[in-house]
Formats: sequence, C-alpha cells, structure tokens
Amino acid sequence: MHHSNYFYGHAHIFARYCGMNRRRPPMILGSLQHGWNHVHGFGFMHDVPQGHPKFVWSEAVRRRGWAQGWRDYYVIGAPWIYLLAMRPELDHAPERKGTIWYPFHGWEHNEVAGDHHRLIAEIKETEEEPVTVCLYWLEYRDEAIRSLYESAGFRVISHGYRGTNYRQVSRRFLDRQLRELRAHRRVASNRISSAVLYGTLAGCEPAVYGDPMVFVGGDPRFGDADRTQRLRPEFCGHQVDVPAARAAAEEELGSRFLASPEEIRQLFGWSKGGRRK
Amino acid sequence: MIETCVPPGVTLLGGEMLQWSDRESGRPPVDGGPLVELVRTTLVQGSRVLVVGVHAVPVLEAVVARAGSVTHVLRSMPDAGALADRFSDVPGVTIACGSLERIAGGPFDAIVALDGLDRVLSADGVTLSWRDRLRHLTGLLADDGVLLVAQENELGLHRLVGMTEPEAARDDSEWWPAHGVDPTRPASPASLGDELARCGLSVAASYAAYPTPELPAVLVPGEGGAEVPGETLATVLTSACAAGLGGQPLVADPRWVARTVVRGGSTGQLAPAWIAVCGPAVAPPGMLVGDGQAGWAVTCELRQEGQETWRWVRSGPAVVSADDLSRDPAMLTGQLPVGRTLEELLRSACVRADLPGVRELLRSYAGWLGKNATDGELGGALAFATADNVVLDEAGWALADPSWSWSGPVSSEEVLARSLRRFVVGLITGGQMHPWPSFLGATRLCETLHAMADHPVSPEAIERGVTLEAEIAGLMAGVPASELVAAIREPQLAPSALSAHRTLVSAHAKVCDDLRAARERAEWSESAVVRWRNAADTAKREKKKTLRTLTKVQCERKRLKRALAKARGTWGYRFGRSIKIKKKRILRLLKRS
Repeated sequence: MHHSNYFYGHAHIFARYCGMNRRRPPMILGSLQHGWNHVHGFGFMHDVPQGHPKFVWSEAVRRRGWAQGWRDYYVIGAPWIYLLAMRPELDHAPERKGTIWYPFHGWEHNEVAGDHHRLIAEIKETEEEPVTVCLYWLEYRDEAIRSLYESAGFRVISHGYRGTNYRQVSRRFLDRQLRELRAHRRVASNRISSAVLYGTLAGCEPAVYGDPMVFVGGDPRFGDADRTQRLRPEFCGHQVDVPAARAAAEEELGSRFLASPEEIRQLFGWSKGGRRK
Repeated sequence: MIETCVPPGVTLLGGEMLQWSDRESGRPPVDGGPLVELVRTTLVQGSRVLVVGVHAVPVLEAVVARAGSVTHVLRSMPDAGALADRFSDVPGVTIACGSLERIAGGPFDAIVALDGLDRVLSADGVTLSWRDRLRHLTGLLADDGVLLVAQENELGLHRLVGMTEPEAARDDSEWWPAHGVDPTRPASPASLGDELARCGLSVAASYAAYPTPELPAVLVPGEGGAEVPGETLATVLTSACAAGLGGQPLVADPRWVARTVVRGGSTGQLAPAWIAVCGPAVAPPGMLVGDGQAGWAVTCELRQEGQETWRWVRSGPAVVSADDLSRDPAMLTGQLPVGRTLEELLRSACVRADLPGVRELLRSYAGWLGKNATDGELGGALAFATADNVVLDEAGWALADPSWSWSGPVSSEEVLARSLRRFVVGLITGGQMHPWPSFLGATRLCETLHAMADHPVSPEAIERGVTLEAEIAGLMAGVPASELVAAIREPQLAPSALSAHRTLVSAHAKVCDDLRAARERAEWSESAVVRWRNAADTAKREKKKTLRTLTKVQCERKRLKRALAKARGTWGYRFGRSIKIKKKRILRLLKRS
C-alpha cells in the first residue's frame, strides 16, 4: 500500500504478532502511523492514501484528523505496544544503568539547526554516567555531529536505517531500540518524541529538557517548537512525575487499544493463507 | 363492498354513516393485550356496559366476558353490521349505530371509550366540542360507575417522529378535522384530569400509552412517573417501538427517541395517548406490557417492590410452539433484571468510537455465553440471548425475556454468530456512525466483531448464524425463512425495515461516505499506477543508457585488444619485452648471490 508502512519494521512487527510471514509481510490495506504525531497522525508531505483506513496510535489523533476533514481512522495503538506484548520484560533482566539520550533529529528533507555544544553541556550537567547518545542515521552518518558527541565522552549509537521505498528497512529496528532502552535507567531528549514515549513504556524514567532546536524549513502547520511541551507537560523537566508520564505515554501510544491478532488480520485484510506454518 | 341496507341485529339511533367504515379507513381499531387486561381488571363482573368508539374484537370480547350486558355504539353502519354478525349468538350484547349525541338511556355501570372521543360523531351529527362530548358521555354513567377513556396526545412521540402533518391530512376521515382546532381538548394528563373533574369524576388511575394510541403495547401508570427504574422503562419502551409505529412513515427511529424521552423524565408528557380510569371501587393494575404477534402474544404486569422489579404474566397462551420455536410465558414471571441491553451499550460505544469499550463488552458477553454452554451447546432459552435481549445488571448478563426457546441443537458459536449478525444488520441499515472501515460488509464486520470478542469464527459458523436468525424470525412473523435470508446476509442491499426518513437520510449519508472512500481509493490507485509507470519508464531509460555505455565500453575494449595485439607484433614491443625478461633474470641472480 504505502512504503511508510515498512518504516522501522512496523509491518514486520505486525506480521510477527499475527503469525504471518515476518520477512515479507503481506500488504496492509491502509496506512500505519509511523511516529508520534501531534497533528493528524501523518506528516504534511506524506501522500496518505485517502479512502483506505488510517491505523493510528491514539484517540486524540483520530479526533484531530476528523476535525480537519479526514476520515477512515481506526485506532489500534502504536506498533511498540505490540512489540512489548510479544516481548514482556523478564524478571532476570540486567540492571539498568545511565541514560540514553535522543537528540531531536531531522529527516531526508529537513535538517535540524541548533547548538549541539550547549546541549552537550546540559546533558553532562544533568545526567549521571554512562550516557548513550542515539543519533538518527542521518546525523550518525554526519562525521561532524557524531564526533561532537563522541568527543564529549558519550557512547554514540544509531538504531539503524528507517527504510524508504522498501529499501534499507531494518526489520529489527525496534527490537534493538527496546534492548537499548531496557539497558538504561533514564531516557531523555530535547523534544517529546516517539523514543521518549517508547522508553517510558519500556520502564525508563523520561525527561525532556534543553534547547528544542529548530526544524529548518519546517511546515508551520505543525505549530511552534514548544507546542508539544504545552500538549504534554508531564515529560518536561530534568526530573518528572514518572507515574503521570507513564499514564500519558500509555495514552499517546494507545495501550488500551491493543487488538488481538485475529482482529488485526481482519482490519489489515490479511488472509489466513499467508500465515506461517 | 360496503352494503347500504340495514344489517340484521343493528339498532339504529340516528346519524348512521351508511357508506363509511372506520375499520377500513386506514386507522385501525384500538387493540392490544394491555387494553384487554385493563378491561378485565377494572370492569365489575356482571355490570351494564356502554362501549363507544372503534375497538378490536379481542377488547370487545374481554368486555363481554366481564359484563352482564353490553351496548356498543358505532357510527359506521358496515362496522356495526360486522360486529352484530360476530356477536349475534352472544346474549346481552346490543350493537347500535349512530352518533354520540343520539345515545340515550343509562345509567351504565361502566363506559369504555378506549378509542377516545374522536370517532364517535358522525358526519350527520352536530359538531360537539371535546368537552361537550365528554359531558354527554359521563351523563350516561352511574354515580359509582367506571369510566375508561383514552385521549390522543397531539404532542405525543408518534407525532414527533411521524412524517405527516396532522393539519395537512387529506384522507376521507378528515371531514371534520379534530386536530388543533378544539381548545377544550386536553393537552396534558393534568388537563384530562381537570376535564373529568368538571364532570364530577375523579381519576383513580391514569396511564401513558406507548407506542401508538391505537395499538398500545405498554401502559405506564401515573403521569409517566413510572415506579420501575428508568433503565427498565427505557428498555421496555425501546422494545415496544422496535417494529415501528403501526407502519406509518417516520422521520426518525422511535426507539432512540423513546429512550431520550424516558431519560428526560417526559414519559407522561410525550406519551402518544393517555388513558384515564375513573371509579370509586377500581383496583387498577400496574405497568402493563404486551409483546409478540398473533398466537405468540403475552401480556405481563411489572411492579416495583423496594429495590426489585417484578414481572407477572397476566394473559397469554400456556405454551405455544411451531417447529423448533416455542414460547412458555410462565418463564416471564419473576424478578426482572435492571440495566441496559447489550445492543444499547454497543451502540453507545460505536458512536463514541470506543473500541476498548466494544472489546470489553463483547468479551464479557461471549464469555458469559461460553460459561452457560454445556459441551459447547446452549440450552433452549439461551439461543435467544441476542444483544437486544440480554441486559447487564449488577449481577452480570441476564436474559430480559427468557420465555422463548429453541429445541434444536444450538452451539454457543451459532448463538454468538446470530447475535452479532442481528446487531450488525441494525447498525448498517440504521446508518449509524461506527468506527470500522466502510469497506467491511456485513460478513467481514461480523468476523471482526467475533475477533474483538476473542472468538474467531469460521465462514460456516457465520452462515449458520444467518440461517438460524432467518428461521427464528420467519417462525415469529409467520413468513418463510427463505424470504428473510437475503436481507440478513446483505443488509446494505435491502431496504431498512423501519423506513424512517431520518434513517434513510443517515443511510444516504453513509452511502455518500462509502462512495467518497471508494473514489479516493481509485484516485490514489490511479496516481500510484502513474508513479510506478513513470518509475518504470525512468528505469527503462536508465537501462538503455547503461546498455549503451556498456556497449561503448565493450567496443573500446575490443579496440584496445586489437591495438595491443598489433603492438605485440612490432619490433619495439619484442625488444622491450626481451630487455624486461633479461632484467628479471639479472635481478634473480643478484638475489641468489
């Protein structure tokens, strides 16, 4: 249907959940929301196939979309909650240490502009070691940005490629992210993002602080840089109320909308014939 | 054919309408189990009774059974003739024909006017106001007599959802329109009581009659201040309105309007009709509820005792059955579960797109069915545990009407399939908002609901649910099941059974939405095809370019090979090669040394 369904291996996670071919997931008859979104679930450059269902993460997204004339929404929750359902945290998990930090990132069409030095200084002042900085593949590939964080003494990683037009899709992107999150005590960023929400549900203590930076050439329909913090103040600050943040993360990721495998198969139009033996 | 000669057995009073028949005019005679029960309960045995207006035979039979003598006055000659023929062998029954003001005699121990006072004056007669009609009638009543009189409410539920304006009526019965022109006509239960008080009568009991004045299936005591809990009353009225309002064209589904009326505390003010019972020695019944058609009909009484609602059977067959379907009215006697039906709860959740709520309800309901199954089979009454017949009360799910039973083997899977199919048919034909993608037809939607209930279903079970629903509905309605299967299997292709205007508007809006979605899918698919074709063209061009480049490289390689071969044949190449070889040998010797 649309290649964005393959971003971060989302289609593969659902295929795994439903017992379908996890390497070559069947086509989903609809569009998956692929990241936390404070508008209608999709980017404004995203050519969403209208008339097909839009499978979104939360009730708020559905209401926003409806208010601007979009229809065919169906709330199923984020692929992350399905991954957590398949991989519950084990009692003998290794001890969590330090913080994993996700600087706000750009994408193929928009860069992020801001003062990385100031951000690094604030991270060093706030976080206890060890600190892992996870960069989006674009920034990770940029030597100048990566070396900034490496020379600050942080462990710098990337979870892999997002995947575009069905190329360079990391089927295990979210599994790697889950492993890293469960190894850390805190998850932090300078903007509220999917990673912060994922980390909160994965048991990390969230924190959002620092210069939110600017999306160069960003679409004004997304609002200003502080909109997300006004929307979800539960995550903002160096130290937050963890239960309140967790409740907010569950709402944003749609935990209560978790559907059964059979229901997902019906909604995605996946026939029983495509199941793994 | 309407005959004009005087029918035998009819006493003529004056003002007879020779060519007119109230029974064939389109507005039916008043009928229904609750009216029959009211007559049985309030008339004193052996009394002398006057009946005015148009009453159905079962109501008249109930009067005749209690009375010592009955005088029934109708304005229509043909109608009087038919009834005279019907009761010709019954002693003590006098059928008279004429207008109200011509009735003399009395005093009567009881007067039954459950059809109201709108069909008692003939075209020949004087135009009496409503108050004068009542005064004339009550003048015929003994001092301690019983009066049963009904009055249509011009602001009743049936008017609010009806499509036709009474003031715009053009049919033959409107030779003297009674609507909106008579200021003495009562406009509320209180004003009805006032008019009766003017005639020296006090109201011993009053009822709000639903869903229509002619065929009331529910009589709610008091001025709508029912004793039973609001949820129970709402469920009863919703059920009574389920089959529409006597076939009249509607602008809205009366079920949900009725529920809103109860919720707003306006059951009495918006009742289609009020019935007043006057008489010093009257012991009127509580809330009367009738349901079922023809031989399946049962009338029950509901009473509130403390925190509990109890139901008794007042009339009905002992046990009636047809093929595998049977009804035992005795099962209705007992405590009534209080709560909202599963259908109502699901509809509310659908409108709010509350998917977790829908899942929770369906899982709970399916789990309850499973718990009550023995080896996967459900007992007779539980085959009728459909969404509109199960209520969620404090103790959990319970059957609202446990009197129906199916003797054939029924699995819990089939019952669930039947129940969800009934719900989906109502959802689709009503055009109500729901959260599921519009391309899901009835069968896919049923499959999705089964999945949400954690009971995935096979296509065979889905089909068994359709056939079971068709069989039961057919037996209840007395039609072959084959005539109902298509509408149950593909309800979006069949007209709505309710034919309410607002329902049609909703269904039209849904069809527009479905078309919009289909058009958007087609447009996106077309643009995707164009994109892919352009990408294919680009790839083709790139491939040609690559092939051209490859060809050039290959040509160049060949040219270089030829040049090299030519160069190898030259004296200079051979000399240089020999020098090179000698150099290598010298270096090897030097290394060894």
